[in-house]
Amino acid sequence: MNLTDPDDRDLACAEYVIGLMEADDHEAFERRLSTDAELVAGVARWREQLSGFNAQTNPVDPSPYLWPRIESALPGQATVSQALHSRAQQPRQRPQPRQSLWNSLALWRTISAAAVAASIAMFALVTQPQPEVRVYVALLKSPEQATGWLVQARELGTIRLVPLNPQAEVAGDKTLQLWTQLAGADAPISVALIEAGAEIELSADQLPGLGPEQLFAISLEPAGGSPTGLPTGPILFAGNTEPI
Amino acid sequence: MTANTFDYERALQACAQGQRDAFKHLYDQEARWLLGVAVRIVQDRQLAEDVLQESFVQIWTKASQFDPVLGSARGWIYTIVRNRCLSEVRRPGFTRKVEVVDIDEINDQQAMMSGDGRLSGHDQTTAMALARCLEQLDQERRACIEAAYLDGYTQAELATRFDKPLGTIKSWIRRGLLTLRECLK
Repeated sequence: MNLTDPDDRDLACAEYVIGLMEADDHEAFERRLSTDAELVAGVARWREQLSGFNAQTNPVDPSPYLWPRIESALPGQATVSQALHSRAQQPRQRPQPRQSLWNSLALWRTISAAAVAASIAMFALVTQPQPEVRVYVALLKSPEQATGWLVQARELGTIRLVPLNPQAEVAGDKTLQLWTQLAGADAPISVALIEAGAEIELSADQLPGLGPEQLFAISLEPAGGSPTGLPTGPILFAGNTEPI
Repeated sequence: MTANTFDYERALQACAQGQRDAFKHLYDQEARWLLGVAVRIVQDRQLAEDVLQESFVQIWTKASQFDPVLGSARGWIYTIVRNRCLSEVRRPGFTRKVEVVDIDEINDQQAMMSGDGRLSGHDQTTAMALARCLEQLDQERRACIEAAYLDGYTQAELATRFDKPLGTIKSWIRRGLLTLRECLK
């Protein structure tokens, strides 16, 4: 990546904004942003100029439960999510000393190098994903090591269970039951009753927690699920989570 | 065209001061448009909602660090969502379909969703300037830049999508951006 030629520098800013940089270049460029006022100004300019694209996509109405999920994930809520987000939480700050800037929108259109210099260090950080959300997968295998289910689990988000055999069935007086056991726990906890051969989505807050080396297992239970709170029938498939 | 008069800068300032109702108001105003952007890139409704959830938490926790010198509040919000989406599709192991299309058959750029009340007067001007300048590009160059921005495709994915060599894609993007820059001055 050439950051000496003026054209290349400016095009790098555009590519960074659009998302076209290869991973290595992207990281290197981001590091440069913390010290290079001209690059920051270039990124800001291209970002605003290309923002017209944001008007070109059709709206999609969010599900009604999205807002409650957002609310419950905000710092200050007494949930598991609070612990995960607390490291990203900044101390609640009063508005910056540049109070007057809030009141004069025209200022943001004139990006002077001097004004930018004061903000450079925060520029890339503030808009980059924080905290990095962890995603896990688990392959649930039978005792004979045949994979029956794939679990994709997203911290604070959605857990997806995908059966590899959509034609699988269980007898009418039975059901499948999904269990999970946190790393270090000594017993599994029931998560849900599931249908054979059917993909299912759950919310992460239906789990007692989510982490690496966490067991997910599916057992065969009487209709209505295990009466005891622990698996009573055979474990059909099981596997541990790995981060991806 | 009536203009959107929602004050995004004031909304972020209120969020920075811990005002939940302003944050909800911002969500009510913009979530469906942001979700549209996310769905377009990650191509999965549920994943897009997860990403939007994380984005809004970030908007809330980082609102005090928004600096109006560096751009508009609305632009900042969209940047957060887009960056999260791009991170998702760049995760190792993330696969998504890249349908092959004939670049010569891509029609005129999509219409701006700039119907009543959608954009502020200023944003309409910005959007129209971009539209006007995109029209001046050769059609393949425009198609590459649009697909890169709207769908979040990498250069390699663009090469697959348009069935062209990677070098050709890189050249189209470079020349397209140069022309765009000159026009937008």
